[in-house]
Amino acid sequence: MSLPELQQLKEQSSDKLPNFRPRAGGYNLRKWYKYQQNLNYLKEHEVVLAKILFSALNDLEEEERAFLASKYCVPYKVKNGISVRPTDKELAEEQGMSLSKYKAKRHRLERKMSYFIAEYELKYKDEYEQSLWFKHGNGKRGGK
Amino acid sequence: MHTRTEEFGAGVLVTVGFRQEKEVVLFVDCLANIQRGIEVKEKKLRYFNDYLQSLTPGQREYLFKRYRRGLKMPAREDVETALNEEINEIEDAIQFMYGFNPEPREYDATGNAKANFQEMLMVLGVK
Repeated sequence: MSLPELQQLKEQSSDKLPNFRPRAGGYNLRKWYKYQQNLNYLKEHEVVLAKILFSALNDLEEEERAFLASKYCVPYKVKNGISVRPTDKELAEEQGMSLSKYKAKRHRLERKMSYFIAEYELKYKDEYEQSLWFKHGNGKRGGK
Repeated sequence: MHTRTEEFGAGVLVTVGFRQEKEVVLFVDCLANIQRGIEVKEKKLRYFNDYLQSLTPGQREYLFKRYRRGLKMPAREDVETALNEEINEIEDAIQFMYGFNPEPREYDATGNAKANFQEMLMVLGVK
């Protein structure tokens, strides 16, 4: 994953993805392990969210997926009653990279993920709305 | 029925009313949904209370202290796993009763990570 590749993605999707959010990648990745472990017990709307995440992950290359999995797809450790992931410092030492390079790589991959997620959110939008148990009104305000 | 007055452009005032045909249908749908939800949860509570009655007093007291009063206690694994299984069973029964999700997913998380990912896509129906 390099910088020009990201710029290319950005140019391609500037018009098509109105729902693009730069932090959506990291936000969804944080739920990876939870979804994987409890796949049999997910509720209907969570299944759609899992579909969005995993189909976005499927678009990545295998090497990149393994890189993200070492950060996000691991069981939590509990420190002082708070569940924590492995830190960037530990993982950078494992991979033999410097801390700043590791961080930059991770942030670029998460950014790339959020483009894919924006795509799949549009694709699964209707399915998500149908899966909700309760919806308030028709989403419009006013009686006009 | 007049609810409010709105302004369009320069000096054009329009009175806007309550649209019964639109609003009432939505409202009744909402009420029916909520009623159904209440029914389901009452049923769940009944089954769960039945299960609690079948436990020994010690186990019941342990659960009450840990989850109702929020006391910090050492976990008793046998009670916890039995409780989890019972809860899953109740959820399944309710789902079959109301036809929410007749096909339970079957996926085993333990094993090779790479093969697991492909299997997960199959289970979700992405691929």
